[in-house]
Amino acid sequence: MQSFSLAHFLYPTFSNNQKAKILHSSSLLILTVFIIAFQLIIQSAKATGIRILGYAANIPPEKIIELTNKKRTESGLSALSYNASLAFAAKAKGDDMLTKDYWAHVTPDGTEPWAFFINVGYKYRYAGENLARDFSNSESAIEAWMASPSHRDNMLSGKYQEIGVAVVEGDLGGVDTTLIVQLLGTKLEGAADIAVAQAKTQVTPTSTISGTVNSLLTPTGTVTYKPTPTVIMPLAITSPVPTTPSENLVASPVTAGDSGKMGVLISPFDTTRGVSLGIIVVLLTVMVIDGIVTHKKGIIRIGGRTFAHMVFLCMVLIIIVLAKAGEIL
Amino acid sequence: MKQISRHLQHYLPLVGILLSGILGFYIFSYDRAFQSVLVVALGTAYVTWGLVHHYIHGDLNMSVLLEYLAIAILGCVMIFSVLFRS
Repeated sequence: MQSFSLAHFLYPTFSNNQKAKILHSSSLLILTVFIIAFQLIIQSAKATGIRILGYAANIPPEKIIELTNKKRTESGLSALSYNASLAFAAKAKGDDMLTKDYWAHVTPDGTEPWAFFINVGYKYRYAGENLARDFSNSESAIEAWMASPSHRDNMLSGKYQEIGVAVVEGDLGGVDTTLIVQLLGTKLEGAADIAVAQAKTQVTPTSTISGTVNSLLTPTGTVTYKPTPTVIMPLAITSPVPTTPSENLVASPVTAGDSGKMGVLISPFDTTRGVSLGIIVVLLTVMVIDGIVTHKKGIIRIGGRTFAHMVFLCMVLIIIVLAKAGEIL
Repeated sequence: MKQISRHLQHYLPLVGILLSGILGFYIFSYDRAFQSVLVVALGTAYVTWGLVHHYIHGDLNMSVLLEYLAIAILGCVMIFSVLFRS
């Protein structure tokens, strides 16, 4: 069996036809297969007992509210006032996403986001919901919302008067995730919050929404209620109204080992980015050496332009560096 | 270096296309679907550039095509792997 030295893979020599083996098309395809296989391994890591970490960040809800109001003030809008019911609704939505393992405005059983407003007794004229996950800090989540026209419209809408935010941490799709739920609303005139803790029955309104719709899931028109009393199971939220916005709204982060699994935490995003950047740096380094050697030795060979490959890989490198953890919805 | 300056009129459009891609990726950071389409478009544009470039220089063959395809696929897979992990 023929054995090759490291130079065979990284340096243009006779054995590799004057081109580092790692730059051959076959090697590049093997690297591609490796990356795909690596992703599959990460995906299946949960089954092996390795705990996958998304982003267990410390994001205080009041910071989200503060930053939201800062953005509104900068845009000449009035600040939103904190509403405990909205915060409870946001917490309920976050918990619901973790419990039912989904990442969407509408629950898998088709429940609209507005049901969470109603469940805590918040009768709204206008209602909006912004979701974010896996951000490492409050600022990056706010910036991501501001970068998206529909989310920015929600945050900077003059129709909203109140806000409630919850930050929930838990397992979503096998990944330790931090969810941020931001609910925005304006109460229906004359309507007061219903004391949820005392509720034994729930008023299930049938809402008729008219007017323009800003985004897919954000009604901005007038909402008319036709209450239909329905006997329901006791509501999950029975805690007293918190005295501060953040109280009771941030679930305790899960610590390694407390679920009986292996105490190993890996971040799929950071790991994937690290592997990809490592491969690109190696390829670029080999290409630079390859370019210098072939130029000095005057080697003429049939193949693609090394400089063009380097430009393309530089673009890939920049895009991967620019990619940020976190997703909004 | 001499070869790069000789092919400058070819490399400038390539750099322009790829810089536009970076800009688009940054501006539409909130739109994952758009970013995905952009990545595929950039990979396709890169392979097309390679084909046109080598065709004009009369050294286009299957191994050259495979090399550009391999680089483009590797780049796209790496970006997608990060994109859908974020």
